[in-house]
Amino acid sequence: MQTPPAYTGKSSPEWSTLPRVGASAAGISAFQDDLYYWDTEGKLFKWNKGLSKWTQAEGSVRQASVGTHGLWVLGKSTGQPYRWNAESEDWEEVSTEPLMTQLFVASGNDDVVAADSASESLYRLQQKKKIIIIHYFFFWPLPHSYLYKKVEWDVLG
Amino acid sequence: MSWDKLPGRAVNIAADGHGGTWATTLAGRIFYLPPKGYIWQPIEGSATVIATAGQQVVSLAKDTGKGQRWSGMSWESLGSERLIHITVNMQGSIWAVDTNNNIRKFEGAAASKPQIFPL
Repeated sequence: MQTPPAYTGKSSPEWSTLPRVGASAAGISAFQDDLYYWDTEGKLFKWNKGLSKWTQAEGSVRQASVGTHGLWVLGKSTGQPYRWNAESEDWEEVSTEPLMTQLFVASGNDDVVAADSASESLYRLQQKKKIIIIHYFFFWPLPHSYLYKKVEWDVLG
Repeated sequence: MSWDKLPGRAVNIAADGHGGTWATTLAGRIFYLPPKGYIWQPIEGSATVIATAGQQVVSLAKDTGKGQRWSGMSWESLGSERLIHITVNMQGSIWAVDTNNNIRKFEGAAASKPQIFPL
C-alpha cells in the first residue's frame, strides 16, 4: 500500500509524523488499502493513493470505521450511525434501535459491531443468508424450482 | 438493518478477521469473544482503544496511552509515544493519532507471527 510520506518534522524512532490537512486529528481507521482520519471539527479525510494526498470525504463525523462492509460513521452532531453506500454514493442511515446514544462502531471482516459507552452495551450486525425459492410455471403443473442465495442484514438469534 | 445485543458490558469494541470480537471496559479490562461464542475471555493487560484487522490486534494501554500489539500471548510495546487513537490494517501497518493530534505511522518491526487467538 502506498502510504502518506513521512513528515520530516518531529518524529520518534518508532513513529513518524505524517502530514495532515484540516484541524487536529481525532481518530484514524485503516482497512486493506483504505486509510481515513477525522479531525476535531468532524471533517473526514481519505488517503488518495493516486494523488498522494488526503482528500476530504463527504460528511461530518464524530467517529469512523472502515472494514469489509465499507465505511461506517457516526454523525458529529447526533451520533447517528450511517454507512456509505458506494452504489448510490450517499450515506445510508442505520438503525439506532435499541437506543444507543454514545455509539462506537467498528467494521471488521465479518461483522459490524458497536459499543454504546453510555450504557456500556455491545451490539452486532450479522449477515444472514436467506434461501428464496422461485417457481416458474412455464410447464404447469410441474414447477421448476430454482434456489439462490440472497444476502441481507438481519437480526441475530 | 437492526442491531443484535451482545452479552457483556464494554465501551470500545473491534471485530477481527476470524469472527472474533474484542472489547475494552470502562476500567480498561480487555476481553475476547470467540467466533460464535457467548462467553467473554479475559485478556491480560489493560487498554482503552482497541482495533483489529485480519490477524492484527492493537490497542492503547490504559495507564500510559502507549501503543501495544497483541502477539497471541501478550502485548508487545509499540514504543514510547503517547497516543489517543490507533488503527491497523490487514498487512500489519499501524497508524495512530498522538496526544498532540498529529497523525503517526509506526515504523518499527512488523509482527513476527501475528496470532489473533489468545489461547
